[in-house]
Amino acid sequence: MLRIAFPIILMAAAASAAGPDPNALLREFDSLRNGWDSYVVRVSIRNYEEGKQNEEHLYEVYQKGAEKTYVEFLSPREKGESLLMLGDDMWIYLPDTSRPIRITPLERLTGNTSNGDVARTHYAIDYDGVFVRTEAVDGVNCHLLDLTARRKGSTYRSIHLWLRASDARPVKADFFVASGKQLKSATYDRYQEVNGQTLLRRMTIYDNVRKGSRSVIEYLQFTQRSLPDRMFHQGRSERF
Amino acid sequence: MVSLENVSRRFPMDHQFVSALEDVTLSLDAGEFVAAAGPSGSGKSTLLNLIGCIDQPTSGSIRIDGVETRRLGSAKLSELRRRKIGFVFQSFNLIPVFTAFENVEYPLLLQRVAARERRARTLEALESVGLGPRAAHRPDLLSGGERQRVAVARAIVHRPALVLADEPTANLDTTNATQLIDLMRSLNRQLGVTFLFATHDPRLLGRADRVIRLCDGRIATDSAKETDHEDLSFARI
Amino acid sequence: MKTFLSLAFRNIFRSRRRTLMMLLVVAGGVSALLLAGGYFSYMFWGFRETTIRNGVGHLQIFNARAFDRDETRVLENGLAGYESVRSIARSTPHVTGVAPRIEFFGMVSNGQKSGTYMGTAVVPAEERKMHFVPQVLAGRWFSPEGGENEVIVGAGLARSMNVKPGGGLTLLAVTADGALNGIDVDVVGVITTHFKELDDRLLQMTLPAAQRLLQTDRVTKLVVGLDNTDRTQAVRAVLASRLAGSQPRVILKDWQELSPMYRQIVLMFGGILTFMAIIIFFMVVMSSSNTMMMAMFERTREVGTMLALGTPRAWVLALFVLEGALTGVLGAAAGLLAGNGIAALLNRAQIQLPPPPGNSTGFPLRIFHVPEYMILASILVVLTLAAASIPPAWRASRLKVVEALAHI
Repeated sequence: MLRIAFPIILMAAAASAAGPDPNALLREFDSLRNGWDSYVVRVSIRNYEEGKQNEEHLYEVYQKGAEKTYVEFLSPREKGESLLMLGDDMWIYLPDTSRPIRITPLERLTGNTSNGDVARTHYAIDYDGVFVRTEAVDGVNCHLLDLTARRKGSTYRSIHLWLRASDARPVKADFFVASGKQLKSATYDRYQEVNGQTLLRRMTIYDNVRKGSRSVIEYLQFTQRSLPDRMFHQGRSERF
Repeated sequence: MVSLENVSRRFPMDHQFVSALEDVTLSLDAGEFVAAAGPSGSGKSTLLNLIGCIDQPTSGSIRIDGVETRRLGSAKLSELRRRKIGFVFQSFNLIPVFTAFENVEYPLLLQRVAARERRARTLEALESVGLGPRAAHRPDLLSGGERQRVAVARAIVHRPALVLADEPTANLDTTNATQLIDLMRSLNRQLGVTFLFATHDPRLLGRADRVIRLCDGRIATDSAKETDHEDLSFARI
Repeated sequence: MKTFLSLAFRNIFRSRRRTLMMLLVVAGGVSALLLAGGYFSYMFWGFRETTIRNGVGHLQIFNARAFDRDETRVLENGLAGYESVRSIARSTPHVTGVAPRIEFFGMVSNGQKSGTYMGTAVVPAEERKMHFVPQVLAGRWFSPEGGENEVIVGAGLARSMNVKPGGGLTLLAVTADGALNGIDVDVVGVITTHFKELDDRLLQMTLPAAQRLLQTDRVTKLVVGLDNTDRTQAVRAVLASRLAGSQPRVILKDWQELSPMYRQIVLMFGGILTFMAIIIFFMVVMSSSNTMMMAMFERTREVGTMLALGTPRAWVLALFVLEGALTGVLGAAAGLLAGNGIAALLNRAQIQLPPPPGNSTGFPLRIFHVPEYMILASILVVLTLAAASIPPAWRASRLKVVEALAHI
C-alpha cells in the first residue's frame, strides 16, 4: 500500500512545491482586513487631486460575516446617508427619501474608492485565485496571484495581487474591469496591532487614468462586536 | 465693277485635283445683264460662287468694286455680300417660317435698317415684282413662280451692286420662266443693278445682253468680245 | 431683334411632334423637381416646428461660459440671477414666453431597481404659454393646482421603472456642491415626445423641486418662444443688443444651432435634391441633343442661304441657342403648371404617410409650393437646353456655304 501511496505523496509534494496555495494566501489576506467574523471599523478616506487634499470622509462600517455589510456615512455633508450590502446586492439610502437606490460595488463611494473597496473585503469568497509566479517588488519577494471574479456581486472582474512571500502581507494590487482595462491600483502601506491581531492600517488607491488622483484609506479603529441581523434589513424602518 | 484675273478653282481629290475653273479672266461693268452658259460641270456655278464671295479661288484675284476679295476674312466677306450682293437660287431657298414680306425684309434686317424704312423698302420691292397683295403669305402657300419672284425681291431690296442667279428658271414652267426673265431685265434697267446668271435655258440666253460660254472650266466664248470682233471684221471690209 | 425671337419661336414649332416630345421631357423634369422639393420643404417645416415645439423653442439664452468648457459640477456654468434677463426677454416684441429650464442627469429608483433619467425642470405655466406641452399618454401634465413634487415621465422610463400615474419614485442627483442628494416624487403623468430615445429617459419636474434636489438657484438656460419662426433672426439681433451689457455675460443660440439634426436633415435632403437635378439635367440633355442635331441638319440649306445672304456666323449660333433656350422656357412653363397642379391635387387628397424613423405617429402628405425651387428648376432647364443646343448651333455656324447650299 505504501508503495502506491508513496509516489502519490511525492506528486502532491511536488505539486505544492510548484507554488503556494492561492486560496490559503487569500484567506490570509482577508484576515488582515477582517479581524473577526463580526466587527465595527471606523474608516477615514482622504482624496487627493494633483497633490491637493479635498475633505476627509468618515464612515462607520458594520461587518457581519462575508455577506452582510452596513456602512454609516459620518461626514457632516453626508450625514443620514447609508449603504447596505446583502450578498450580491447593494443599496444606498438617502435622508428624506422613502426608497433605497440600488447601486453596484464598482460605483464610486468617494474619490477613487469604490463602494466595494469598503464594503466587500472578502476576496477569498469573491474571487478565484491562481498563482502566477514569484517576483521581486521593490526588493521584496512577492507571490503574484491572478484573481478572477466568481460572483455576480464581485467588485472587479479581475485583480492582480502581490503578496509578500514571507508573510502573505499585500504589497500592491492592480484592478481591472470587464473590458480588461486597468482601472486603478493600490498599495498597502501600513499595519497595526489590535488585540494581538495584525490588521491593515492604511492603503492608497491610485487612479490609472487620471495620474495624480488618489485616495488614502485609513482604518482608524477596529472593534469586535456581535451585530444583530436586524441591522442588515433592506427596509429601513426595521433597522433600529 | 467685277473683275477676275487668272482665277482658278481647284478641288483636291486623292493625290491630284479637279479643276472647276482654270485661268479665267473676265470683267463685268455696272448694269450689265450677263449670262454664264455651258453644260453641267462647265464651272458656271463655281464662277458664280467665286464672284458671290461664298467661295475663294485657289489662285488668281477677284475684285468687287475695286476690293480684292482674297484679302478679306470670313467676316468681311460676309459683310461684302450683305451690302453689295444679292442671290437668287434655283430652288428659291426662302425661309419657310417667314412670310413673303419677312423673307424680302431679311437683308435689310441684316443691315440693321430702321423698322419704318425697312417696311417701306420691302413693300416697294414686293410691288416691283408684282407681289404686293401676297406679301403676308408663307412660301408654302405660294406658287413656284411667286416664290422665285419673292426671291428676286429679296435679292434687290437692299440695292446691291450685283445680283447672282444660279439657274433661276430651272424649276419654273415656260410662262413663269419668261415672266421671271422679263422681270429681272426690267429691274436691271430700272435699278442699274448688274445681273449675272448661270443658265442653260435658251429662253434666258436669248434675252441676255452678253453671254459667256464656259467649257471645262475655261471661257470658250464671251459674246462681249465677239461683238468687238464683229465690229472689227466689219470695219475691215 | 424682335424678328429673330419670332424666327426662333416659329422654328421650334416646325416639327410639332418632336417639340412636344422634348417639352414633355423638360416639363416632366421640372415637375419632378417641384414635387420632390415641395415635399422635402414640407418635411423640413414639419421637423422644424416639431423640434421647436418639443421644447427647443426659438431661441435659448445661456451663461456665456457654458460653451467655453464643460462643467465639473452641475450648473457650474448655469445662469444665476436669471430674473432680470428673463424680464428683458419678455418685454421684447414677438416674444410669447420665456421659460427657465434646468437640465441634468441623475439616478432614479422605484425601490427595487435603479435607472438613469434625464431631468428637465420647468415652470409649467410658462411652458404652457408657448405650447410646449408634450403628448400625454396617461394621467395628466402639470396643472396649476399641482404640487412641487409632481413629475412627468417618458413612456420608456415609465415602463422600465414600472410606474404609473399615482405611483412614486425617488430621485438621486449630485448637487452643485458635489454631494449626493435625493427627493421623493409623485408621478402624475406619462408622456411621449415621439422620439424613442427621449421617451426612455425623460423626466420632467418642477423648477423648485430641481433647485431643492440640486441645492442651487441657478438655471441651465432660458428658452424663448416667438410668435413666428421666420422672425427668429430678427428677434435674436434685438435681444442680443438688449442683453449686451448684462452680468453674467449671456450667449444666445437659435433653434438651428441647437438642433444639429435639423441642419443635417436639410443638408441630406438638399443633397438628394441636387442629385435629382443632376440626373434630370443629363436626361434632358440626352433626350434633346439628338433631336436638336437632327433638326439642325434639316435646315442645312436654309442656314447656307442665310450665310450666303450675309448673316454673321455668330447670329446663326445665337439663333440656335435661342431656340434651345426658348424650348426650355416653354418646357419650364409647362412643368410649373403641371408640377403645381399635381401638388395641389395631392394636397387635396389628404394621403396619410407612415411615421418617419424614430417617430411614433404618421402625418398627412403635403407638398409645399416653393418659389425658390420653381425659379431654380426653370433656370436649370433653360440653361440645360441652351447648353445642349450649343453643339448643333456651333456646327450650323461653321457650315461651309457652298456645301450647305448643295444639301438636299
